[in-house]
Order: sequence, then structure tokens, then C-alpha cells
Amino acid sequence: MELAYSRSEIELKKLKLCDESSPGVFSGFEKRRFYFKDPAILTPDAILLLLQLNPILIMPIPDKGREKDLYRVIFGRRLFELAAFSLKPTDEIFVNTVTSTLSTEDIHQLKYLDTIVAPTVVSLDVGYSELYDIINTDTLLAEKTWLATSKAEFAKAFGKSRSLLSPQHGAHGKKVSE
Amino acid sequence: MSAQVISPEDANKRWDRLFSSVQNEFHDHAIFNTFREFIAPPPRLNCFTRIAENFIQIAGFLDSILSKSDYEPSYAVNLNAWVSLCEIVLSKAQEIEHDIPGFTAPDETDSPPPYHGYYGSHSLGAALWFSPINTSKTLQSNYRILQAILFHVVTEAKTQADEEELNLDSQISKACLAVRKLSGLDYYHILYSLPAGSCSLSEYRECIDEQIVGECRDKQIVESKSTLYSLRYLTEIAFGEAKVTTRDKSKPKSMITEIYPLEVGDDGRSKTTCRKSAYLTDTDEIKTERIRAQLTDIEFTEPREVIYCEVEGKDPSGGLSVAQQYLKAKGAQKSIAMDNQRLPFAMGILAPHDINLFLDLLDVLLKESGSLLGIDRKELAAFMAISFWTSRSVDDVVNSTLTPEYDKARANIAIYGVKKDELYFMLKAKEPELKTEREDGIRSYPLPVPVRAANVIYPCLENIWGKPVETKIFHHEPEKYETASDRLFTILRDNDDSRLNSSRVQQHLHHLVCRLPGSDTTMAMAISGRDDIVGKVHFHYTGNRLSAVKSTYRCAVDEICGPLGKSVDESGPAPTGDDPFVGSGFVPEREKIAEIVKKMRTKIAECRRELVVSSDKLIEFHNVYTSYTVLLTGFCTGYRAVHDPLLLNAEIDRASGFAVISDKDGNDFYNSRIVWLPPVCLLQLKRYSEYLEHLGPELFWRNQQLFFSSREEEIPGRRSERAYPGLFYIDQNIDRVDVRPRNLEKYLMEIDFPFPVNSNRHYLRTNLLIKKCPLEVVNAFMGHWEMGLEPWGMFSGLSPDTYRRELSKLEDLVHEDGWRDEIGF
Repeated sequence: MELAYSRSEIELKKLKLCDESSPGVFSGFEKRRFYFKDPAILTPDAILLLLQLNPILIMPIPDKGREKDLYRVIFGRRLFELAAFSLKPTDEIFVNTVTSTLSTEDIHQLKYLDTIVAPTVVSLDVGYSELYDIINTDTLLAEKTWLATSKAEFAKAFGKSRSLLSPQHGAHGKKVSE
Repeated sequence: MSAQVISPEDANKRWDRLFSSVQNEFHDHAIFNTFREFIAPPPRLNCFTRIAENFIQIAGFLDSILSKSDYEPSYAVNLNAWVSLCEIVLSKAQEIEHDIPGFTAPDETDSPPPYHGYYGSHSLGAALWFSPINTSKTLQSNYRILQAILFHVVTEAKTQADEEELNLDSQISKACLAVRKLSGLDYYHILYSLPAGSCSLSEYRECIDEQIVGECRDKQIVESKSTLYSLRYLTEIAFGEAKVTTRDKSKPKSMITEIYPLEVGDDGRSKTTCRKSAYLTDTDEIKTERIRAQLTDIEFTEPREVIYCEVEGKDPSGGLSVAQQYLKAKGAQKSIAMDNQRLPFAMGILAPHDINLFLDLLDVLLKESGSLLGIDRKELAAFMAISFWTSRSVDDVVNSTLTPEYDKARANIAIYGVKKDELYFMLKAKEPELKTEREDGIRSYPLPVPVRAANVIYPCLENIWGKPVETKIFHHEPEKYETASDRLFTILRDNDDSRLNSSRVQQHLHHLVCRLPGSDTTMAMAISGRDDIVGKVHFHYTGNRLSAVKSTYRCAVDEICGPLGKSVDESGPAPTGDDPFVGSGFVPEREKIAEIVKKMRTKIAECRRELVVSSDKLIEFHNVYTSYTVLLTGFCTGYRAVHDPLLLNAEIDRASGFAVISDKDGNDFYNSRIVWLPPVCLLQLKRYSEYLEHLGPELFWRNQQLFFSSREEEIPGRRSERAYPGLFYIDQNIDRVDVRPRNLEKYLMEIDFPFPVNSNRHYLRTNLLIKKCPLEVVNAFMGHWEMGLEPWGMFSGLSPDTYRRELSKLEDLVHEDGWRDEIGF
């Protein structure tokens, strides 16, 4: 695949996700697959910085009346989701806009990389409690990045009870056997 | 102007003295008077010598002209006698001067003539006085022939006018004026082209036609030729060719413009020449073309008289154009109207003394036989009684009927009688003016006829009593009844110290109901059916219960009759059914609203339960929940049917509960109003906001654009940032549907809300009044305040404290209807 793109800033509300009804292994891949259930977990500054470093890959939607001037997100959908809940619809974010022609297979591969490969290779094998401890190692840094800082807020963002953040719980909430 | 005014008596005396001076030579006083009548000389006798001198010459030409025509006019028999009279007068001029000093005195000026002020009443005489200044024999001869023609056509026109009862004064005057002008220096070119020798009448007329029709591009010449139009028109009359008809007032006037010079200024001084356009009922194409050539299109088509000066100078209006005079008059009229506004409302209300006088007058009329101005006195009494006790319009009263079936009466006022002393007015219910006619709703309603009125009305019904069909009571034209009642009131005003007149009597009940406790203009309009400018908007939104209308009418009758008369008795088989609204047909019944609220809340609860298990009902829940929030806000605030009726953050003061509604308004907030939000409304707005927060993730995975739009803080058409995201519906394609009146109507139908979108305003105004909320407060709440009662106005008589306190009745109303804050999911 030869991927050509240009970098620019664009209003958040002009982006939309790929057609969820298209077939594929990640069709209907939802939020429940992610650690954090609450998409509004990061501070706007952290999100903007993250997007600057990892711009979303988008491609224009062919002009079809109502969808005029809209773009489809083909890589970075999780970041797009976090941005949608943390930023204003009119805020501008960094994006890479595809300028080359992509086949359906190319798009399919990019979505596969975005949804399955990237999260898998960068995921940590730690429990909720440990994760919370790692995040809060540097309080100042955590406050700049996370909207939820207390244990209760974190538990809520994980969609779990607070007891899961207790030290006896291991990776992904499994109890650590002594 | 400084015209010398001579009274007709003085003028007659002078002429009598003239006759007595020549009586020895000329005995026939009748001929003398005929001559005077024919030529109608100006009243100043010193002009007569010159007229007589001219007439002798004119008569010679006239004789010659008549000899060439087959026709012999009626005046021809006197012509010789008139000539000899003139000759005698001239021969005895010096003697007459002795009897009548100044008789031979020279005229003030030769040109222009001193008699332009006499053209209205002495036009021919004034025209015969003139001679061209130029002494050319041709001109002198031409002019005398012209005067002879004028003499002939004027006398013929006068004869025709007498026979056919036409008014040709204006035409005669214009023709004479034209002849007068032709003696002036500016018109010699025309005078030269007129026949010099003797010719017949028809030849002369053809010559005038040629002068008029002949092409000429010189504006001055065209203008001067136009002076002949009136003369030619008069010749047409004399020849019986012109169509002189009296104008039918019902038909629009077919107008063309004729221009003639008009002199303004004092006698003997410099004149200002104006051109005046007047209008004739003539469609002569030649004239029209001539006039069109001289006027601009606007001037030509303007349906008003205009004067425009060609030369600057003094004019009788003091230098004002007609338009300026009109504006000045309008200003004065406005000023007077403003002053009249100070006259109290009570000017239209009769004093108890007047009322007693009027009621006694009706009783007296009953006892008297005969008629007044062609109207039977009993009939007139019945007419006046119905008019007084219903306050309905004269047309309604004149068309009132006696109906055997109360529910099938078609007239605006029908009288349904059970027995002599148990009559009912069946009054057609007045409805607000709407774009579409409503078929449902109350058509007419009964009001018991007061006993005192029944006694007057019944005698007029005796002849038609018991007829199986609806029968008209009165048979004359409305104007006749009005004239007769006016005559009666005039007599009454002359004989008694009274302010009675037709208008006051007809409107008394209306004004009385307006000021009764617990009543307002809408109630008065419901009874009288009158259009009251003060209550037109209020009436649109208000429904008065029939029971309240009856009760108010009873109070009014008690107020009128007082201890002197019996009050109306409502008992008996009064044709009443349920208790409908009179007035606005869009006031929902409270039970219906409570039922709808209950139904909506049940539906919300059901959907909420199902959403726990499946998200299938998400759209349905959202739409019902949005409808509930919209309606709750509308029924708490009286919001109009506008786009996105949700309050902005800056528009709510949470400490006091007051909020600004800026519907039907502009960017300047000029028409904004302050309402008080019941706590349940504030809470529901907060709940809806919380609900949208929860709805966000659901929307994001379905439609990102809908998700973003639900988080938009700037809504098109609104000004500031809002605390809550806007209201919106979701359609089956998971697309946003704005809350606009048309969409709202559709979604409200889904929850069986059968009323118009703005029925909340009808409901609130009507029910707040029923809850005894003061009228001023309700009007301010609805945005219909009167001057001086603006909420928070600098000099307003409405206290914010009173406003807030009285609006607590709104909280009761909302609570009783079952509105509660509903959480989302």
C-alpha cells in the first residue's frame, strides 16, 4: 500500500466514523472493548497534544448532498471518540488527510491496524489497581492528563466498582492468588 | 383677496334705480329683467355701460349667425328689445350718472379684467365685458363673433340644464373664462385663426375643432389652445351632441385632466399664474392626448387635484402647495385627536340619570301610537331596546329574528320566547379573526332578556309570535331606524339635561361590562360582538365560560336597572348545555390537558423501563421526553410557537425564578418580556440537560453529526450561549429534527395532543383569569401589556412584587394539571 497524505487542522464536527454496517471482523467494535468506558477521561489539553503527535487519518467523503464537506475517519477512531467527548464540536484538531486513492482492501487493512493491532501491541498487562498507581506516580503529570484523579472517579471511568482498584486485584481485575 | 362684496339686495336696488332712469324710454320691466337674468352682469353697475356697448355689436353678429342657421333659439324674440335697451342706456348714460353716481366711471383696469372673482356667478356677463386690447378691426370682429357664439351656447346650455335638471354651471363658467382669456395678448394667434366673417354655428364649431386638433409642438401654443376645450364642449352641449349624464356614484369616476390657468392674487395687483388641473367625466381622446402631452405620467394619473405654480409669488394659501396644506391639516387633525384622548373612557358611558331617562322613553314610546319618520313607535322602541340591552351593531339588531327553535337560529341576534315575560337573546358567538374558519365550537348562546326589555320588545313580537319558522322582526332599512332614534335623542337632549345619543346608548352595555369587577374587554366583546381595538389581541387568546358570560350579563343588568327595575331571572328552561367557551375556540379543557400530561408521563415511564433491557425504544423515548419538556415549558411560560422554545442560560435568573422570553422579537430585545418560571419548569430544564449528557454516547455510535449537533451551544437564530443544548427530535434515520412549529405539530400528534401548537397561550390566559389573576399581570405575562404597565418599566404601575406574587397562581395551575419533573434514563 502506498499511502500519501497531507497534514492540516479541521473542525471536529466535520469528521465521522466509517460505516459501521460494513462487514469485517471489527464491525460493531464498541467501547466495551476498551479499558476506559468513559470517553471523556482525558483533559482537552492532553487530547489536543495527543492528536498533534498522532493525527487521525481521514479521507474526504464524496459529495453526497447532506454529507458535503465531511470526512471519514479511517485510522485513530478511539482518539477521535475521546476528542469528541472532551472537546467542543467546533474545536479544530490535527488530521492527516489521505491524498492518494485507496482501495477497499487498503481501507480494510488500515481499520484492522487501528482497531486490533495498535491497541494490542501497546496495551499493558497490569491490573486496575496497579494501573491507577502507575498513573498517579506523578500527581502533577496526572492532573495535566486525566480528568479523573480520585480512585472513585477512576473506578467510574473504568465502569467498575471502587473495590476493583484495591491492591489484591491483578491485571484486568483478576484476583492475584497468594 | 380684496373683492368688494355687494349684497343681492343692494344689487337689486341698483338695478331698479337703473330701470327707473330709463323707464321713460323703455317701459317693459319684464324684458329688462330677462336681459339682466340672461347676461347675469356683475353687480357693480359701472360695468354695464361697457357690456351694453359690446352687446350691441355682439347682437349684430348673433343675428347674422342665426340667420344662417335653420334653428331659432328661444331668446331670439327678445334680442331686438335687448339691443334697444342697451342703446337707450348708452344714450342716457350721463343722465343716469346723475341718478347713479359712478355709473359711467372708468373701470379700474383694462387688462387684466377686474371681474375674475365673478366667474362663478356672473360668468357670461363678465365675458361679455371684455374687448381685445389690440384695436385691430379683425381681432375686434373675431372677438365679437366669439362672444356671440358664447352667448348662444351659454343660453342654450342653460335651457338644456333647466329642462333636464343638469348642473352645467362649471362648464359654462369655464367656457366664459376661455373667452375672457382669448382677449389677452397671449392668445391673439388663436383669435386671428377664428372666423372673421359671418358663418353658421356649425361652421364655427368646426373651426374650433380644427384649432384644437391641429398639430402643434409649441408648448405655449398647445397650452393656449387648450383654453378652447371648454368652449368646444359647450358647443357640443348646445348642439345636443355631448353626453351629459349625472354620474352614478357607485361606479368609479372615469377621469381625465383638464388644465386651465388660474389667477391668484389680489384684484388689480400682479397675479401669480398657476395651472390647475381639474377632473371631468369625459373620455374624449383628443383632450386626453393633449393633457398627457403637458403633464408627467404621475401628474396625469394622480387622482387628486393639484396646483403647481409656474411663477413664484404670493398665492392665497400663503405659499403652501396642496400637499403641504394637506399635511398641515393632517397634523392639526392628529393634534386634536391626541387632545381628545384625554377624554375619559367614561365619556361613552351613560350616567344613571341618562339611563333612567332612556328606559322611561322606551316605556313612553310603547304607550304612544303612530309613527316617527315612518317607523312605528313600538317597533322603534323594540329596536332601541335590543340595541341597548345587547350592545350589538345596528345591522345585527335590524336583522334580528324571532326563532321557534333556539338551537337553529341563523341570525346574529335571535329572540327565543317561551312566554311573554320569558324571552332569551340567542346571540351569535363572536370568534376571533382566524385564517381558517372553525366548524366546531359554540355558534350561538342564550342570554335571558331583562324583564324591562322584554316588556318593550314583546309588543313588537305579537304579530309573529308562534310562527313555525324564524321570522324577521324589523323590516325597514337600518338608516331609517338610526335616523328615527337620532331624532328622538335630539328631542330628549333639547327637553332634558341629557347626554343621550345613539352611539352612547348602543355602546353603553359594552363599556359597562368592560369595567365590571372580574370582567375585561374580552368579556364585553363576547357579549356585544363588537370589535374593540383595545381588546382585539386579548380576545384572540381568551375564552370566557358561558356561565361567566351569563353571570357578568346579570351583573350588568343589575347595575343598569338598580333598585328601579327587576334583575334578569335565569331560572326556567334556558337553553343551555355544557359550559363551553365563548371567544377563542382553542382553549383546551383542563381535564384534557391533565389527561395528556398523565398519558405522556406513563409513556415516558414505560419507555424508560424498556430501555434498561434494550435500546430499541431509545428514539421513541427521546421524542416523547422532548415533547414533554417542550409542552411543560410552554404551559409554564406561555412561549409562542417558535423555533426551539428553550430558554438560554443568560435569560434565567435562578435566584428569583424570573426569565426573559424573547420570542416574536428582534436583536434589540425590544419586544422581550419577563416571566416567572415555576420551580418545576426550572427543574425539568435541568433534567433534560442531564438526559442529553447520558444520551451522548448512545448518539455517538449511531450518528456522529447528530451527536455533535446535540452538543452545539450556538443555535441558529439565537443570540447567546445557552446552558442547555437545544431541543431536538430524532427521526427513524437517526437524524436530527429541529423543534419548529410544523415539526412540533407532527410529534405532538403522536402523543394525541390535538390542539394547535400555541394553544398553551390560549390556555394560560383563560385559566389565569379564571384563577382571578389580575388582568394587568396576565397581560404582562402574555406580552400584551398596556402603556404604563410594562413589567420593569421606569414609570410602570405594575410592581414586580405583585407580578411575582400573583403568578404563584401559575404554580398551582401547573401542579393541578399534573406537570412534574421527569428524569431521563
